[in-house]
Amino acid sequence: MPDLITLQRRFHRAVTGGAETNIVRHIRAGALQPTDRLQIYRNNTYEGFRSALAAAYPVIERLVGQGCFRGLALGYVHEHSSTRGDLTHYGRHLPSLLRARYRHSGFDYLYDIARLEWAYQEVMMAADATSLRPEDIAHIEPARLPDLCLHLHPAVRLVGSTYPILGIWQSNRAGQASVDAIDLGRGGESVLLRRTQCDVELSLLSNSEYALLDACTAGRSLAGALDAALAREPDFDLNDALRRAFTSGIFSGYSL
Amino acid sequence: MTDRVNRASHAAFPIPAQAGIGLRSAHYGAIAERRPAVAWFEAHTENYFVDGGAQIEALHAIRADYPLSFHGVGLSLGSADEVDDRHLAATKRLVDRFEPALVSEHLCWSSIDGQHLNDLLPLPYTAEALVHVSDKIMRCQDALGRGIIIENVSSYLEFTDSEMNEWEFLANVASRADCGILLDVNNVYVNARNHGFDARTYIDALPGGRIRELHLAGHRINRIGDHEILLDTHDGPVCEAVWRLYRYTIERIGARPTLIEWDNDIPDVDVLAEQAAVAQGIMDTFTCPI
Repeated sequence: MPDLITLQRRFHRAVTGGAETNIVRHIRAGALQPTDRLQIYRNNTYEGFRSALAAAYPVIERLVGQGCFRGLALGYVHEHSSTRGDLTHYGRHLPSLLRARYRHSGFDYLYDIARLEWAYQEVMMAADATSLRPEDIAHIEPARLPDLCLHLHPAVRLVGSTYPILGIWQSNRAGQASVDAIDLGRGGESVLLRRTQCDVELSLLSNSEYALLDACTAGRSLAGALDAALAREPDFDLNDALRRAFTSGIFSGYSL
Repeated sequence: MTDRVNRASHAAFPIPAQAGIGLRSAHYGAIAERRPAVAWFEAHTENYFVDGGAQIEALHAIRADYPLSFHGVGLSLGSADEVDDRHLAATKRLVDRFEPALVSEHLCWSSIDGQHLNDLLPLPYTAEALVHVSDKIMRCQDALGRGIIIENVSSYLEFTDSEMNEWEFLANVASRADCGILLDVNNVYVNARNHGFDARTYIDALPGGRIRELHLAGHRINRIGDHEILLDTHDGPVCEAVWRLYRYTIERIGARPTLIEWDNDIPDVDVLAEQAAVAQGIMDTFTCPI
């Protein structure tokens, strides 16, 4: 009789597509064959992973169709084993799988949609924090403002794309009866995701605002972030952009 | 602040020996609006392994109005691996924060060598597994600073190496680890059909005093060739045979906190409340105050 660890390793191997012979002889046959019994566990575990992925990526599932999504999930399960007892973060590698699979295929926007959907998941799960108010930084001497680093709120994400990802996402959400054709070449969209009281809000950012906030995310100072924004839009209005960002509660802290 | 004080006052709220339902995020809105007349809610611990947001907020709101139980699905107590300290610490953070009246986990394994299948997998009922899983339960109880209750799972195979029956294994683990039992009546029924034993023998063999909670759920009958196998799908109402076994259990051990589980194809919360009312009716029959 094998010890517990050996038995479990053999079972795990058989359920994840490896050899069955070593475990089959330790399974009582009865009315059903041991291989049929193992197949139930193979189906159940795969279905658990597939449904976790489908819950995180409903728009991807709708775009590729359920059948194709099942195939993607199968590929994902083989490439990414679960290393935790909860599936909260299990789907985080799906964007990179889609990028590898659809590179130069005309479907490479799927990578960006998947990044958007995972950002949505992260925003939902992120820590609570009080948003920074303009008065919180009012005491800082104007001369030091260029060195100010603004920290994005934990429940805020930015996703930039050369495709109209917000349009694609909005028209393929659950509950959207008909999908209008979207011209993939109509231009890229940069999306800001932030958590509201009971939902996640997605809104469009201009190229320069995206550059500004993206630089803040990267830890750059206000001077550096402004340079990044000006590079996109020469008459970029920093005050206006910051006012909008503070109103939306985009920042939660700062450093100098 | 008043709000927080209110919440804290429910800290010692025990789960009454009445019927509750499993808490699913699809029902948060309906629960907040309608305050369904169920005695308590049970949350899957891992659903709250998040840093913040609406999930946690909703759980706080429910905790303020109803007794709560935490039901873990991922601790992999029966795995030959050591206790998953990260998972246990995450559980402890939630337990400390929400102070649920009951904390439960499954008598099964779901991972080996740190690789998780995130499914409730059957154990061989051996002396080695008995000692190992009991030791791990004791470690968890020590870390959490409180007792836990362990649940029997549905299974679709049995190991030839088992040295005792499933019910002997369950009773022995509970005794050795000094923990409670969460008896899933549907799982007893499913296993009795799948493995060919009398479900009442199982119920009779358990120490009733250790049974702190009962689960009820729907299952499906699947056909493979000429044979039937029952799958624990949690996607429908409790079937008549399981109600009968539940009645038998209550008659034997008395009323216990009883939970209706419905995890897939989730209907309106009122449908779950109706199922809970059936369970309540059965408990009331046997605990009629005179």
